[in-house]
Amino acid sequence: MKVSVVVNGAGHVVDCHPSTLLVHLLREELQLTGTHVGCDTSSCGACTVILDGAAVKSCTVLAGQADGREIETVEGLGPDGRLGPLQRAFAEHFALQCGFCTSGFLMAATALLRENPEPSESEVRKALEGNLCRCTGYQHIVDAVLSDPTGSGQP
Amino acid sequence: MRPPDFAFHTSPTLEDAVSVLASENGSMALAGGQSLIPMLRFRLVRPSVVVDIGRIEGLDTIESSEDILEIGALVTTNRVAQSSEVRALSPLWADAASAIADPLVRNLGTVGGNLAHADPLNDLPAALVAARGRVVAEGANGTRVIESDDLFAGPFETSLRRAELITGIRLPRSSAGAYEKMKRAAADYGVAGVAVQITGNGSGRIAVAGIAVTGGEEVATRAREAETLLVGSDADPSTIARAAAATAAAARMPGDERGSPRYKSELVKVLAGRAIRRAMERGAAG
Repeated sequence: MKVSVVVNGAGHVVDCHPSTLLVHLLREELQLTGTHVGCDTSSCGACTVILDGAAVKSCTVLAGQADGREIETVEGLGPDGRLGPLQRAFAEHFALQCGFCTSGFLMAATALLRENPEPSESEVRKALEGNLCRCTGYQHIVDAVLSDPTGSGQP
Repeated sequence: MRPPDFAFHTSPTLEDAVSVLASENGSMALAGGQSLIPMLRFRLVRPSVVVDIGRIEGLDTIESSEDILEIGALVTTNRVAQSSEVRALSPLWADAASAIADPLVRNLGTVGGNLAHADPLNDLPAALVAARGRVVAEGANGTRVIESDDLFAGPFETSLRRAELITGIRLPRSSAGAYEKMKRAAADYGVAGVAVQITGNGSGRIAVAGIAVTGGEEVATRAREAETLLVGSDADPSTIARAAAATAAAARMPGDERGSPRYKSELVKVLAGRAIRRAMERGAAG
């Protein structure tokens, strides 16, 4: 089946099998491998992308459901090969070690900060409940998200 | 794990979805996909056609009248969790929706899907039963309204007919409601949950009480004896304690890797007490 998607602002028409999952469409058809497959059972959130403005687990979306929709992946956070502000905040706060879960956390946090530019610590923790990290113990990730990386809290 | 082969059909209208589901053997409806897609991957279901009902218009509204809060089947559980209207008119439903999985799953999972899937550990069935809600369903023979007590036939089974789809739910409004849930880990099912909704008689006594348990032997076990204990009382501590014990007795909690029957029964007793007290506090405040 033909599926047309806009990914990080660029339109694509992909010919894929009806049982294709969005994460595989991104990684295998579009070679956007920043989105990771972790648990593959909708638990870990490593595959988190933003679909029409909402953070979702791309391993639990069928390609056909994404047809005609807009998708943002981690590649869109640093379009010219440079890190975006939230990515820099993750680096500065040691919010990653092995890095496998990082793109998922970045996308879930990006969706949060757009909706709520000055979240409380508890709001950050709730928004990241669907993302698992086995290295950091979460505190540094929460610190990075709370560090006002986009400068939106500036007067 | 990749899903097995199937054909994918996007239904533009409810009529189209009902007709495709009726005519195609082995077809299944897909709403948000947060239960169906994992089941496809684990080969627990093998549909020939997946019918995407997620783009049907008009099923994603939240509306209220004097007595009833109506939620469309395609409203995501995150919208229910965050809606100030739901928080005010059915705090039980706002609590229960907030308790589902995590925000990423709630961004896609729908009210209709959560109910129709009829997983004994899904949170919305107990919230529907405790609220004495009704489900509106559309099928080949037209529209019908199903009482909450008649919807769930057993684990993963409902009284919905073939090619019949939930289009929305109607909830009696009450500010005196609450849902209490115990979870072991973020990415796991809950252990148990208790839903409570109460209507006062206007002079400090309980006129109607609804109590239902998540995680028992049945899908949404209604605790009738506990409800009877509360009706006519002013929810004094000893009545609450007896109602909580009756709730645990009704639930017949099965033992599994999340706990023994005895542990879970004790847990339901504690959750029931908390939910009744919170519902009463909210009712007094609202």
